Amino acid sequence: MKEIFPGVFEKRKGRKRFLYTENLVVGETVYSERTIIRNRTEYRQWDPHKSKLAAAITKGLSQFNFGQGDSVLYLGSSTGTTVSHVSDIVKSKGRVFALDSAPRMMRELVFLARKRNNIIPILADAAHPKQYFHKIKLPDFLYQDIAQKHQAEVFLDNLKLVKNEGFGILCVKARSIDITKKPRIIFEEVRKKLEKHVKIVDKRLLKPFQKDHILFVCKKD
Amino acid sequence: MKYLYSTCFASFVIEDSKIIDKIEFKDVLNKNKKLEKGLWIEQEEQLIKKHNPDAFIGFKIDDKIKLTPDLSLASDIEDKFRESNLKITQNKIKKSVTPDQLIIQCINTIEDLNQDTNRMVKRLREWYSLHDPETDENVSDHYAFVKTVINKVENKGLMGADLKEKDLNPIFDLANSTKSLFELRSRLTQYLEQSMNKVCPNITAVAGALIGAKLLQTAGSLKDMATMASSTIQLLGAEKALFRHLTTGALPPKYGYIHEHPLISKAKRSDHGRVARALADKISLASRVDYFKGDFIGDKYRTELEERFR
Repeated sequence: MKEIFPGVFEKRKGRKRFLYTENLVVGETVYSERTIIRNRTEYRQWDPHKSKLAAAITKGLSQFNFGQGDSVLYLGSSTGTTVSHVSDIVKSKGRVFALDSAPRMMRELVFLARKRNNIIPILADAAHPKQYFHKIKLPDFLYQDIAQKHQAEVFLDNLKLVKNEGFGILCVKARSIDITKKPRIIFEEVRKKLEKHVKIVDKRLLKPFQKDHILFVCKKD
Repeated sequence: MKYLYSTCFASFVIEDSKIIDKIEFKDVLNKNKKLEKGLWIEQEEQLIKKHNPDAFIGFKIDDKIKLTPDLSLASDIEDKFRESNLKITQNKIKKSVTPDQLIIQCINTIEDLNQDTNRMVKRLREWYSLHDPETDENVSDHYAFVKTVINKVENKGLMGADLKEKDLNPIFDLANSTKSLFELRSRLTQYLEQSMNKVCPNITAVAGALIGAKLLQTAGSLKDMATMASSTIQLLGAEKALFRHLTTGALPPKYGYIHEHPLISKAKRSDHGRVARALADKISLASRVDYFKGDFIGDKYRTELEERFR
Protein backbone atom coordinates (compact mmCIF):
# COMPACT_ATOMS: atom_id res chain seq x y z
CA MET A 1 0.00 0.00 0.00
CA LYS A 2 1.53 3.26 -1.15
CA GLU A 3 0.09 6.76 -0.90
CA ILE A 4 0.46 8.17 -4.42
CA PHE A 5 -1.53 11.37 -3.83
CA PRO A 6 -2.85 12.79 -0.55
CA GLY A 7 -5.60 10.40 0.47
CA VAL A 8 -5.22 8.13 -2.58
CA PHE A 9 -3.57 4.75 -2.10
CA GLU A 10 -2.27 2.25 -4.59
CA LYS A 11 -1.71 -1.46 -4.36
CA ARG A 12 0.16 -3.34 -7.07
CA LYS A 13 -0.47 -6.97 -7.76
CA GLY A 14 1.66 -8.16 -10.65
CA ARG A 15 0.90 -5.84 -13.55
CA LYS A 16 -2.44 -4.79 -12.09
CA ARG A 17 -2.92 -1.57 -10.11
CA PHE A 18 -5.70 -1.05 -7.62
CA LEU A 19 -6.68 2.34 -6.20
CA TYR A 20 -8.07 2.90 -2.73
CA THR A 21 -9.27 5.71 -0.50
CA GLU A 22 -9.55 5.61 3.24
CA ASN A 23 -13.17 5.01 4.22
CA LEU A 24 -14.64 7.99 6.06
CA VAL A 25 -17.58 6.00 7.43
CA VAL A 26 -16.07 2.73 8.57
CA GLY A 27 -18.15 -0.34 7.79
CA GLU A 28 -20.35 1.34 5.16
CA THR A 29 -19.91 0.94 1.42
CA VAL A 30 -21.54 3.23 -1.13
CA TYR A 31 -21.97 1.23 -4.33
CA SER A 32 -21.09 -2.25 -3.02
CA GLU A 33 -17.41 -1.74 -3.80
CA ARG A 34 -14.72 -3.91 -2.24
CA THR A 35 -13.04 -2.91 0.97
CA ILE A 36 -9.77 -4.02 2.53
CA ILE A 37 -8.33 -3.49 5.98
CA ARG A 38 -4.65 -2.61 6.45
CA ASN A 39 -3.17 -1.55 9.81
CA ARG A 40 -6.64 -1.24 11.34
CA THR A 41 -7.73 1.23 8.64
CA GLU A 42 -10.48 0.43 6.19
CA TYR A 43 -9.95 1.32 2.54
CA ARG A 44 -12.53 1.35 -0.25
CA GLN A 45 -11.52 0.21 -3.71
CA TRP A 46 -11.83 2.89 -6.40
CA ASP A 47 -12.89 1.41 -9.71
CA PRO A 48 -11.57 3.26 -12.82
CA HIS A 49 -14.42 1.82 -14.87
CA LYS A 50 -16.97 3.55 -12.68
CA SER A 51 -15.19 6.80 -11.87
CA LYS A 52 -13.50 9.10 -14.36
CA LEU A 53 -11.17 10.57 -11.76
CA ALA A 54 -9.94 7.09 -10.87
CA ALA A 55 -9.51 6.37 -14.58
CA ALA A 56 -7.34 9.47 -14.97
CA ILE A 57 -5.18 8.49 -11.98
CA THR A 58 -4.75 5.00 -13.41
CA LYS A 59 -3.72 6.58 -16.71
CA GLY A 60 -0.95 8.42 -14.87
CA LEU A 61 -2.30 11.81 -13.84
CA SER A 62 0.76 13.91 -12.94
CA GLN A 63 -0.77 16.05 -10.21
CA PHE A 64 -3.62 16.05 -7.79
CA ASN A 65 -4.43 19.45 -6.44
CA PHE A 66 -6.71 18.93 -3.52
CA GLY A 67 -6.47 17.06 -0.28
CA GLN A 68 -7.43 16.94 3.35
CA GLY A 69 -9.52 19.87 4.58
CA ASP A 70 -10.19 21.42 1.17
CA SER A 71 -13.53 22.68 -0.03
CA VAL A 72 -14.44 21.15 -3.40
CA LEU A 73 -17.16 22.29 -5.77
CA TYR A 74 -18.33 19.17 -7.57
CA LEU A 75 -20.58 19.71 -10.61
CA GLY A 76 -22.51 16.75 -11.96
CA SER A 77 -22.43 14.58 -8.88
CA SER A 78 -25.06 12.08 -10.08
CA THR A 79 -25.67 9.44 -7.42
CA GLY A 80 -22.34 10.05 -5.75
CA THR A 81 -19.92 7.33 -6.82
CA THR A 82 -16.95 9.62 -7.35
CA VAL A 83 -18.28 12.10 -4.79
CA SER A 84 -17.91 9.48 -2.06
CA HIS A 85 -14.21 9.04 -2.88
CA VAL A 86 -13.63 12.79 -3.03
CA SER A 87 -15.32 12.94 0.36
CA ASP A 88 -12.88 10.27 1.59
CA ILE A 89 -9.95 12.36 0.34
CA VAL A 90 -10.94 15.72 1.86
CA LYS A 91 -11.82 13.95 5.15
CA SER A 92 -14.18 15.25 7.80
CA LYS A 93 -12.72 18.78 7.89
CA GLY A 94 -13.17 19.28 4.14
CA ARG A 95 -16.37 20.03 2.26
CA VAL A 96 -17.77 18.65 -0.97
CA PHE A 97 -20.46 20.86 -2.46
CA ALA A 98 -22.13 18.38 -4.78
CA LEU A 99 -24.36 19.81 -7.49
CA ASP A 100 -26.73 18.04 -9.82
CA SER A 101 -29.76 19.23 -11.74
CA ALA A 102 -31.73 15.95 -11.70
CA PRO A 103 -33.98 15.42 -8.65
CA ARG A 104 -33.88 11.66 -9.18
CA MET A 105 -30.09 11.57 -8.80
CA MET A 106 -30.15 14.08 -6.00
CA ARG A 107 -32.43 11.80 -4.01
CA GLU A 108 -29.68 9.18 -3.82
CA LEU A 109 -27.11 11.82 -3.03
CA VAL A 110 -29.14 13.10 -0.07
CA PHE A 111 -29.05 9.60 1.42
CA LEU A 112 -25.28 9.58 0.95
CA ALA A 113 -24.97 13.05 2.47
CA ARG A 114 -26.87 11.95 5.57
CA LYS A 115 -24.18 9.32 6.20
CA ARG A 116 -21.21 11.49 5.26
CA ASN A 117 -20.96 14.76 7.13
CA ASN A 118 -18.74 16.51 4.60
CA ILE A 119 -21.08 16.22 1.60
CA ILE A 120 -23.46 19.09 0.92
CA PRO A 121 -26.11 18.26 -1.68
CA ILE A 122 -27.37 21.10 -3.88
CA LEU A 123 -30.10 20.70 -6.46
CA ALA A 124 -29.22 23.29 -9.09
CA ASP A 125 -28.19 23.73 -12.70
CA ALA A 126 -24.43 24.12 -13.07
CA ALA A 127 -24.95 26.50 -15.99
CA HIS A 128 -26.38 29.17 -13.65
CA PRO A 129 -23.84 29.97 -10.90
CA LYS A 130 -26.08 32.88 -9.88
CA GLN A 131 -28.64 30.44 -8.50
CA TYR A 132 -26.30 28.61 -6.16
CA PHE A 133 -23.51 31.05 -5.41
CA HIS A 134 -24.89 31.82 -1.96
CA LYS A 135 -25.15 28.13 -1.12
CA ILE A 136 -21.42 27.37 -1.35
CA LYS A 137 -18.32 28.35 0.56
CA LEU A 138 -15.37 29.67 -1.44
CA PRO A 139 -14.08 26.48 -3.14
CA ASP A 140 -10.39 25.53 -3.31
CA PHE A 141 -11.03 23.17 -6.17
CA LEU A 142 -13.53 22.60 -8.97
CA TYR A 143 -14.42 19.23 -10.46
CA GLN A 144 -16.83 19.10 -13.37
CA ASP A 145 -18.33 16.09 -15.07
CA ILE A 146 -21.56 17.07 -16.77
CA ALA A 147 -22.97 15.75 -20.03
CA GLN A 148 -23.93 19.10 -21.53
CA LYS A 149 -23.28 20.65 -24.88
CA HIS A 150 -21.60 23.73 -23.42
CA GLN A 151 -19.36 21.91 -20.94
CA ALA A 152 -16.32 24.09 -21.55
CA GLU A 153 -18.19 27.38 -21.12
CA VAL A 154 -19.88 26.16 -17.94
CA PHE A 155 -16.48 25.11 -16.60
CA LEU A 156 -14.93 28.51 -17.27
CA ASP A 157 -17.92 30.25 -15.65
CA ASN A 158 -17.65 28.14 -12.55
CA LEU A 159 -13.89 28.47 -12.31
CA LYS A 160 -14.55 32.15 -11.52
CA LEU A 161 -16.08 31.02 -8.22
CA VAL A 162 -12.90 29.22 -7.20
CA LYS A 163 -10.29 31.03 -5.14
CA ASN A 164 -7.32 32.64 -6.88
CA GLU A 165 -4.68 30.22 -8.15
CA GLY A 166 -7.08 27.37 -7.53
CA PHE A 167 -7.28 24.30 -9.73
CA GLY A 168 -10.07 22.70 -11.68
CA ILE A 169 -10.64 19.38 -13.39
CA LEU A 170 -12.88 19.16 -16.44
CA CYS A 171 -14.13 15.85 -17.84
CA VAL A 172 -15.10 16.32 -21.46
CA LYS A 173 -17.59 13.93 -22.96
CA ALA A 174 -17.23 14.32 -26.72
CA ARG A 175 -20.50 12.53 -27.41
CA SER A 176 -22.60 15.18 -25.72
CA ILE A 177 -20.91 18.08 -27.51
CA ASP A 178 -21.42 16.77 -31.05
CA ILE A 179 -21.90 13.16 -32.03
CA THR A 180 -21.19 13.76 -35.69
CA LYS A 181 -17.64 15.07 -35.20
CA LYS A 182 -14.59 13.00 -34.37
CA PRO A 183 -13.78 13.12 -30.61
CA ARG A 184 -10.17 14.12 -31.37
CA ILE A 185 -11.35 17.30 -33.13
CA ILE A 186 -13.72 18.19 -30.28
CA PHE A 187 -10.97 17.73 -27.68
CA GLU A 188 -8.76 20.08 -29.68
CA GLU A 189 -11.53 22.71 -29.83
CA VAL A 190 -12.13 22.47 -26.09
CA ARG A 191 -8.39 22.77 -25.42
CA LYS A 192 -8.20 25.97 -27.47
CA LYS A 193 -11.23 27.40 -25.67
CA LEU A 194 -9.74 26.67 -22.25
CA GLU A 195 -6.28 27.97 -23.10
CA LYS A 196 -7.64 31.45 -23.78
CA HIS A 197 -8.59 31.80 -20.11
CA VAL A 198 -6.68 29.27 -18.00
CA LYS A 199 -3.46 27.30 -17.97
CA ILE A 200 -3.80 23.61 -18.78
CA VAL A 201 -1.36 21.71 -16.60
CA ASP A 202 -2.28 18.15 -17.56
CA LYS A 203 -4.62 16.17 -19.77
CA ARG A 204 -5.43 12.47 -19.98
CA LEU A 205 -7.47 10.45 -22.43
CA LEU A 206 -9.63 8.06 -20.44
CA LYS A 207 -9.41 5.23 -22.94
CA PRO A 208 -10.01 2.27 -22.34
CA PHE A 209 -12.05 2.97 -19.18
CA GLN A 210 -14.38 5.55 -20.71
CA LYS A 211 -15.21 5.91 -24.38
CA ASP A 212 -14.52 9.31 -26.02
CA HIS A 213 -13.65 11.11 -22.82
CA ILE A 214 -10.75 13.39 -21.94
CA LEU A 215 -9.83 14.98 -18.63
CA PHE A 216 -8.17 18.40 -18.35
CA VAL A 217 -6.48 19.75 -15.24
CA CYS A 218 -6.50 23.55 -15.30
CA LYS A 219 -4.95 26.24 -13.16
CA LYS A 220 -6.67 29.54 -12.61
CA ASP A 221 -4.44 32.55 -13.23
CA MET B 1 -13.51 47.93 2.82
CA LYS B 2 -16.83 46.71 4.19
CA TYR B 3 -18.62 43.98 2.27
CA LEU B 4 -22.14 42.68 2.36
CA TYR B 5 -22.28 38.92 1.85
CA SER B 6 -25.34 36.68 1.87
CA THR B 7 -25.28 32.93 2.20
CA CYS B 8 -28.31 30.65 2.16
CA PHE B 9 -28.68 30.88 5.97
CA ALA B 10 -27.55 34.36 6.96
CA SER B 11 -26.42 37.78 5.76
CA PHE B 12 -23.02 39.05 6.92
CA VAL B 13 -21.12 42.31 7.00
CA ILE B 14 -17.42 41.68 6.60
CA GLU B 15 -14.46 43.96 7.28
CA ASP B 16 -10.85 42.81 6.87
CA SER B 17 -11.94 39.18 6.45
CA LYS B 18 -13.78 39.29 9.75
CA ILE B 19 -17.50 39.15 10.38
CA ILE B 20 -18.58 42.32 12.18
CA ASP B 21 -22.34 41.79 12.00
CA LYS B 22 -24.77 39.11 10.92
CA ILE B 23 -28.48 38.38 10.72
CA GLU B 24 -29.53 34.76 10.52
CA PHE B 25 -32.67 33.79 8.59
CA LYS B 26 -35.56 32.16 10.34
CA ASP B 27 -37.32 31.06 7.16
CA VAL B 28 -34.45 29.64 5.10
CA LEU B 29 -36.64 28.22 2.31
CA ASN B 30 -38.40 31.48 1.44
CA LYS B 31 -35.30 33.66 1.69
CA ASN B 32 -33.50 31.25 -0.55
CA LYS B 33 -36.11 31.55 -3.31
CA LYS B 34 -35.49 35.31 -3.39
CA LEU B 35 -31.70 34.96 -3.27
CA GLU B 36 -31.75 32.52 -6.19
CA LYS B 37 -33.47 35.12 -8.34
CA GLY B 38 -30.97 37.79 -7.27
CA LEU B 39 -33.58 39.81 -5.35
CA TRP B 40 -32.88 41.88 -2.26
CA ILE B 41 -34.11 40.57 1.07
CA GLU B 42 -35.07 42.57 4.17
CA GLN B 43 -32.12 41.36 6.21
CA GLU B 44 -29.73 42.74 3.60
CA GLU B 45 -31.53 46.08 3.57
CA GLN B 46 -31.31 46.28 7.37
CA LEU B 47 -27.56 45.64 7.27
CA ILE B 48 -27.07 48.21 4.52
CA LYS B 49 -28.84 50.86 6.59
CA LYS B 50 -26.85 50.02 9.68
CA HIS B 51 -23.33 49.65 8.22
CA ASN B 52 -23.43 51.27 4.78
CA PRO B 53 -21.03 48.71 3.17
CA ASP B 54 -18.85 49.66 0.20
CA ALA B 55 -19.46 46.57 -1.94
CA PHE B 56 -21.28 43.28 -2.29
CA ILE B 57 -20.07 39.80 -2.73
CA GLY B 58 -22.21 37.90 -5.18
CA PHE B 59 -24.27 38.40 -8.28
CA LYS B 60 -26.79 41.06 -7.29
CA ILE B 61 -26.10 44.27 -9.15
CA ASP B 62 -24.78 43.07 -12.47
CA ASP B 63 -24.06 39.57 -13.62
CA LYS B 64 -20.37 39.94 -12.86
CA ILE B 65 -19.38 37.98 -9.84
CA LYS B 66 -17.33 39.24 -6.94
CA LEU B 67 -15.59 36.61 -4.95
CA THR B 68 -16.14 35.64 -1.36
CA PRO B 69 -13.18 36.60 0.78
CA ASP B 70 -11.28 33.70 2.24
CA LEU B 71 -13.14 33.76 5.51
CA SER B 72 -12.08 31.44 8.21
CA LEU B 73 -15.59 30.85 9.47
CA ALA B 74 -16.22 29.36 12.86
CA SER B 75 -17.07 25.69 12.53
CA ASP B 76 -20.61 26.14 13.80
CA ILE B 77 -21.21 28.61 10.95
CA GLU B 78 -19.70 26.19 8.45
CA ASP B 79 -22.06 23.47 9.64
CA LYS B 80 -24.94 25.78 8.79
CA PHE B 81 -24.04 25.44 5.09
CA ARG B 82 -24.73 21.74 5.29
CA GLU B 83 -27.77 22.00 7.50
CA SER B 84 -29.58 24.61 5.42
CA ASN B 85 -28.60 23.10 2.07
CA LEU B 86 -29.93 19.72 3.16
CA LYS B 87 -33.17 21.42 4.10
CA ILE B 88 -33.40 23.35 0.83
CA THR B 89 -32.49 20.38 -1.36
CA GLN B 90 -34.89 17.99 0.32
CA ASN B 91 -37.68 20.52 -0.06
CA LYS B 92 -36.78 21.05 -3.71
CA ILE B 93 -36.86 17.33 -4.40
CA LYS B 94 -40.27 17.17 -2.77
CA LYS B 95 -41.54 20.06 -4.90
CA SER B 96 -40.08 18.58 -8.09
CA VAL B 97 -42.69 15.80 -8.30
CA THR B 98 -45.19 16.63 -11.04
CA PRO B 99 -48.32 14.83 -12.33
CA ASP B 100 -46.56 13.88 -15.57
CA GLN B 101 -44.08 11.79 -13.56
CA LEU B 102 -46.97 9.69 -12.29
CA ILE B 103 -48.08 9.15 -15.88
CA ILE B 104 -44.56 8.14 -16.92
CA GLN B 105 -44.30 5.58 -14.09
CA CYS B 106 -47.69 4.23 -15.10
CA ILE B 107 -46.84 3.79 -18.79
CA ASN B 108 -43.54 2.16 -17.83
CA THR B 109 -45.41 -0.34 -15.68
CA ILE B 110 -47.90 -1.06 -18.46
CA GLU B 111 -45.04 -1.75 -20.88
CA ASP B 112 -43.40 -4.07 -18.35
CA LEU B 113 -46.69 -5.88 -17.80
CA ASN B 114 -47.10 -6.36 -21.55
CA GLN B 115 -43.82 -8.23 -21.69
CA ASP B 116 -44.44 -10.18 -18.50
CA THR B 117 -47.93 -11.36 -19.42
CA ASN B 118 -46.72 -12.35 -22.88
CA ARG B 119 -43.98 -14.54 -21.48
CA MET B 120 -46.24 -16.07 -18.85
CA VAL B 121 -49.01 -16.94 -21.32
CA LYS B 122 -46.52 -18.50 -23.71
CA ARG B 123 -45.25 -20.71 -20.90
CA LEU B 124 -48.81 -21.48 -19.78
CA ARG B 125 -49.74 -22.54 -23.29
CA GLU B 126 -46.82 -24.98 -23.46
CA TRP B 127 -47.45 -26.39 -20.02
CA TYR B 128 -51.22 -26.72 -20.26
CA SER B 129 -51.00 -28.22 -23.76
CA LEU B 130 -49.44 -31.36 -22.30
CA HIS B 131 -52.80 -31.97 -20.71
CA ASP B 132 -55.08 -30.39 -23.31
CA PRO B 133 -53.61 -29.31 -26.67
CA GLU B 134 -56.96 -28.44 -28.25
CA THR B 135 -57.57 -25.20 -26.28
CA ASP B 136 -54.21 -23.77 -27.31
CA GLU B 137 -55.06 -24.49 -30.94
CA ASN B 138 -58.59 -23.02 -30.78
CA VAL B 139 -58.15 -19.89 -28.61
CA SER B 140 -55.61 -17.49 -30.05
CA ASP B 141 -56.26 -14.45 -27.84
CA HIS B 142 -54.00 -14.58 -24.77
CA TYR B 143 -56.45 -13.23 -22.21
CA ALA B 144 -59.28 -15.43 -23.52
CA PHE B 145 -56.95 -18.44 -23.31
CA VAL B 146 -56.15 -17.82 -19.67
CA LYS B 147 -59.84 -17.44 -18.83
CA THR B 148 -60.70 -20.68 -20.69
CA VAL B 149 -58.02 -22.58 -18.80
CA ILE B 150 -59.41 -21.42 -15.47
CA ASN B 151 -63.04 -22.21 -16.32
CA LYS B 152 -62.25 -25.43 -18.21
CA VAL B 153 -64.66 -28.33 -17.89
CA GLU B 154 -63.19 -31.79 -18.45
CA ASN B 155 -62.95 -32.16 -22.24
CA LYS B 156 -59.38 -32.65 -23.34
CA GLY B 157 -59.41 -34.38 -26.71
CA LEU B 158 -57.37 -37.34 -27.88
CA MET B 159 -53.78 -36.06 -27.62
CA GLY B 160 -53.77 -34.79 -24.03
CA ALA B 161 -52.08 -36.77 -21.27
CA ASP B 162 -54.11 -37.81 -18.25
CA LEU B 163 -52.62 -35.66 -15.52
CA LYS B 164 -53.48 -36.05 -11.87
CA GLU B 165 -54.94 -33.17 -9.88
CA LYS B 166 -51.66 -32.83 -8.02
CA ASP B 167 -49.86 -32.07 -11.30
CA LEU B 168 -52.63 -29.85 -12.65
CA ASN B 169 -52.81 -27.53 -9.65
CA PRO B 170 -49.56 -25.63 -10.35
CA ILE B 171 -50.80 -24.98 -13.89
CA PHE B 172 -54.03 -23.44 -12.59
CA ASP B 173 -52.00 -21.49 -10.06
CA LEU B 174 -49.99 -19.93 -12.90
CA ALA B 175 -53.17 -19.27 -14.87
CA ASN B 176 -54.74 -17.43 -11.95
CA SER B 177 -51.67 -15.25 -11.39
CA THR B 178 -51.50 -14.42 -15.09
CA LYS B 179 -55.17 -13.48 -15.10
CA SER B 180 -54.66 -11.07 -12.22
CA LEU B 181 -51.78 -9.43 -14.13
CA PHE B 182 -54.05 -8.93 -17.13
CA GLU B 183 -56.63 -7.36 -14.85
CA LEU B 184 -54.00 -5.12 -13.28
CA ARG B 185 -52.94 -3.97 -16.72
CA SER B 186 -56.47 -3.01 -17.71
CA ARG B 187 -56.95 -1.12 -14.44
CA LEU B 188 -53.69 0.75 -15.01
CA THR B 189 -54.67 1.58 -18.59
CA GLN B 190 -57.93 3.01 -17.29
CA TYR B 191 -56.05 5.10 -14.72
CA LEU B 192 -53.62 6.24 -17.43
CA GLU B 193 -56.43 7.43 -19.66
CA GLN B 194 -58.05 9.33 -16.81
CA SER B 195 -54.86 11.10 -15.76
CA MET B 196 -53.81 11.82 -19.35
CA ASN B 197 -57.18 13.47 -19.90
CA LYS B 198 -56.69 15.53 -16.77
CA VAL B 199 -52.98 16.44 -17.04
CA CYS B 200 -52.62 16.84 -20.80
CA PRO B 201 -56.09 16.83 -22.43
CA ASN B 202 -54.85 18.33 -25.70
CA ILE B 203 -52.10 15.77 -26.31
CA THR B 204 -54.60 13.02 -25.50
CA ALA B 205 -57.16 14.41 -27.94
CA VAL B 206 -54.65 14.56 -30.79
CA ALA B 207 -52.40 11.56 -30.16
CA GLY B 208 -54.46 9.30 -27.89
CA ALA B 209 -53.64 8.36 -24.30
CA LEU B 210 -51.18 5.54 -24.95
CA ILE B 211 -49.10 7.21 -27.67
CA GLY B 212 -49.23 10.50 -25.78
CA ALA B 213 -47.92 8.79 -22.65
CA LYS B 214 -45.13 7.09 -24.58
CA LEU B 215 -44.06 10.41 -26.10
CA LEU B 216 -44.10 11.96 -22.64
CA GLN B 217 -42.02 9.10 -21.29
CA THR B 218 -39.32 9.48 -23.95
CA ALA B 219 -39.33 13.27 -23.77
CA GLY B 220 -38.82 13.04 -19.98
CA SER B 221 -41.45 15.50 -18.84
CA LEU B 222 -44.26 17.70 -20.11
CA LYS B 223 -41.94 20.69 -19.83
CA ASP B 224 -39.28 19.05 -21.98
CA MET B 225 -41.89 17.98 -24.52
CA ALA B 226 -43.35 21.48 -24.73
CA THR B 227 -39.91 22.90 -25.53
CA MET B 228 -39.24 20.34 -28.26
CA ALA B 229 -39.48 21.12 -31.95
CA SER B 230 -42.18 19.19 -33.77
CA SER B 231 -39.50 17.41 -35.82
CA THR B 232 -38.07 16.05 -32.57
CA ILE B 233 -41.48 14.83 -31.43
CA GLN B 234 -41.95 13.19 -34.83
CA LEU B 235 -38.86 11.08 -34.20
CA LEU B 236 -39.32 10.26 -30.50
CA GLY B 237 -38.99 6.50 -30.25
CA ALA B 238 -36.80 6.29 -33.37
CA GLU B 239 -33.56 7.35 -31.65
CA LYS B 240 -31.61 4.36 -32.84
CA ALA B 241 -32.46 4.98 -36.49
CA LEU B 242 -31.87 8.73 -36.10
CA PHE B 243 -28.38 8.37 -34.66
CA ARG B 244 -27.55 5.72 -37.23
CA HIS B 245 -28.54 8.31 -39.84
CA LEU B 246 -26.43 11.06 -38.23
CA THR B 247 -23.32 8.96 -37.72
CA THR B 248 -23.27 6.70 -40.77
CA GLY B 249 -25.43 8.61 -43.23
CA ALA B 250 -28.09 5.90 -43.54
CA LEU B 251 -31.63 6.91 -44.56
CA PRO B 252 -33.35 9.07 -41.93
CA PRO B 253 -36.40 7.71 -40.07
CA LYS B 254 -39.81 9.26 -40.78
CA TYR B 255 -41.57 8.55 -37.50
CA GLY B 256 -41.18 7.11 -34.01
CA TYR B 257 -43.97 6.23 -31.63
CA ILE B 258 -46.53 8.23 -33.62
CA HIS B 259 -46.37 5.49 -36.26
CA GLU B 260 -48.89 3.58 -34.14
CA HIS B 261 -51.41 6.40 -34.57
CA PRO B 262 -54.54 5.39 -36.61
CA LEU B 263 -54.09 8.38 -38.96
CA ILE B 264 -50.68 7.09 -40.06
CA SER B 265 -51.48 3.41 -40.17
CA LYS B 266 -54.60 4.11 -42.27
CA ALA B 267 -52.80 6.40 -44.71
CA LYS B 268 -51.29 5.26 -48.00
CA ARG B 269 -47.70 4.06 -47.72
CA SER B 270 -46.43 6.95 -49.82
CA ASP B 271 -48.26 9.41 -47.55
CA HIS B 272 -46.83 8.11 -44.24
CA GLY B 273 -44.06 10.71 -44.03
CA ARG B 274 -46.37 13.60 -44.80
CA VAL B 275 -48.99 12.54 -42.24
CA ALA B 276 -46.30 11.99 -39.60
CA ARG B 277 -45.02 15.52 -40.11
CA ALA B 278 -48.47 17.09 -39.83
CA LEU B 279 -49.39 14.96 -36.82
CA ALA B 280 -46.16 15.76 -34.98
CA ASP B 281 -46.78 19.43 -35.67
CA LYS B 282 -50.22 19.29 -34.02
CA ILE B 283 -48.93 17.22 -31.09
CA SER B 284 -46.19 19.74 -30.39
CA LEU B 285 -48.74 22.57 -30.46
CA ALA B 286 -51.00 20.56 -28.13
CA SER B 287 -48.16 19.90 -25.68
CA ARG B 288 -47.45 23.62 -25.43
CA VAL B 289 -51.11 24.37 -24.77
CA ASP B 290 -51.08 21.70 -22.06
CA TYR B 291 -47.87 22.90 -20.44
CA PHE B 292 -48.93 26.54 -20.30
CA LYS B 293 -52.44 25.55 -19.18
CA GLY B 294 -54.35 26.96 -22.17
CA ASP B 295 -57.94 26.24 -23.15
CA PHE B 296 -58.96 22.91 -24.64
CA ILE B 297 -58.30 23.00 -28.37
CA GLY B 298 -57.20 19.40 -29.04
CA ASP B 299 -60.36 18.20 -30.80
CA LYS B 300 -60.07 21.08 -33.29
CA TYR B 301 -56.53 19.97 -34.17
CA ARG B 302 -57.73 16.40 -34.51
CA THR B 303 -60.58 17.25 -36.90
CA GLU B 304 -58.26 19.46 -38.96
CA LEU B 305 -55.93 16.51 -39.42
CA GLU B 306 -58.73 14.07 -40.17
CA GLU B 307 -60.19 16.36 -42.84
CA ARG B 308 -56.82 16.90 -44.44
CA PHE B 309 -55.97 13.22 -44.69
CA ARG B 310 -59.37 11.67 -45.27
